[in-house]
Amino acid sequence: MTKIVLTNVTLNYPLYVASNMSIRKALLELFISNKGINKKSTVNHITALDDVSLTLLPGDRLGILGDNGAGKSTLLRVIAGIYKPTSGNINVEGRISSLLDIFFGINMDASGRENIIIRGILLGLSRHDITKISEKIIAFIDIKEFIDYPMKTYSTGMKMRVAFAISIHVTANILILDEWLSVGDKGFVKKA
Amino acid sequence: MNEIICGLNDFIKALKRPDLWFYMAFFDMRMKYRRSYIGPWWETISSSLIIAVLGFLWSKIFAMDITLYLPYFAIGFIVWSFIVSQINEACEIFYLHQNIILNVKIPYHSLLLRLAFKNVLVLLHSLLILIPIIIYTVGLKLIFLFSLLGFAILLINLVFLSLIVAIFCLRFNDTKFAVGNLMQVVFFTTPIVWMPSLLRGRSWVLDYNPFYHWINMIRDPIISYNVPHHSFFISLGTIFFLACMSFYFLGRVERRIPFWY
Repeated sequence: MTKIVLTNVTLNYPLYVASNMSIRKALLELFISNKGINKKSTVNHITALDDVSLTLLPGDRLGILGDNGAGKSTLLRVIAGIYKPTSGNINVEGRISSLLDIFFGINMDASGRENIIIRGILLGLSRHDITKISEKIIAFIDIKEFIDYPMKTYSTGMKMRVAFAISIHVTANILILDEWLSVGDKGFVKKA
Repeated sequence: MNEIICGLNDFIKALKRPDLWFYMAFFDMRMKYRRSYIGPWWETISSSLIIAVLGFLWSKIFAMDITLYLPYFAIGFIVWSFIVSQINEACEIFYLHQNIILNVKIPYHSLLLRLAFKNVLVLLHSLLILIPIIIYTVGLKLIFLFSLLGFAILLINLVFLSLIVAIFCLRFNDTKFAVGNLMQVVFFTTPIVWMPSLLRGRSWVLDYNPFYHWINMIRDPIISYNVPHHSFFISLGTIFFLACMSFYFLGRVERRIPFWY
């Protein structure tokens, strides 16, 4: 059964900045911290998600609202399995199609037709499966001969149509969308 | 141990989705040469030029018969180009595919496999110059099949090595400069331009150099109709070692990689 269950999920988001990404710092830490002088980690953390629990069952749609930096995208990334929570459990059953960034996997030098295949594969379909449904997607996009032109020649609206059409044709049980409201007129954020 | 299993899982998942690397490698190749008239044949042209000019020059410097030196240098150089592009491009690979890593969960190994197969495609274009050289100078023998086996072993080695490089380059920006520099040193310390016989007994320079064994197991069957068992065994050993290392590192940092951007 398709479901998403988060229990007491907490995520401390490590903030890596140039100074604590350096190899010198890491080496120093490696040798010094072993002697117990400086055990404190030099990486600052932000608690992006604090004790989040939720259950989503088939048919549920969840919209997440919040200020910038509130942790909306982080929560979606946790559900998508990209960020692993610091503590708590996450149980997701079903095939996820996560679309956090509209133009993810799109190569602007490639044609719309090629991008359908590429993105389909990245979303977890086999090349065979995506090729089978590609005609349907092309019909849905409906931009005529432009489908064979490089995507950089497209207007913004056409680019979005391509990106959007691929995503909704990839059959998934769970669809994660981040700030996609501006694309389709149907402002759905998540469909389970 | 848990880390190694975690890394191994990632590798198995990558193998289960060949479209992610095999098909994508063709796509990358197509994109690289789009809008170029000569396209991937530039690979053939540029390696031909280097092999012809340097092969001729160095055979004079080393006072060697060109029919002996040319195949030796050509094979070594083409295999080296393959190795060096895999390692150097691995430095940037996680940045290049940032957009994928932050949007979908795909096995990290698939990115390196994708890179490796793209480099295999590049190498195939160079074969167009290499094969005639081999046929004219040493002929064709069944024993050359060992070179193919050797190449497969090299390929697996490089996938694991380049994953380690990719992880370190993402985490520590300094690594990519060090890697570039190190690869140049390796080029000059590995017998590609010069022959091992010039070492006159100081063979430890070769014994501890895995790059020598990787190249040797491909080159030796063709040059001297001889299967270098020693190099094959060492290269299988390095697969084991590099696989364990890369699984371990990946398993250790897998959950942190998305935060490193």
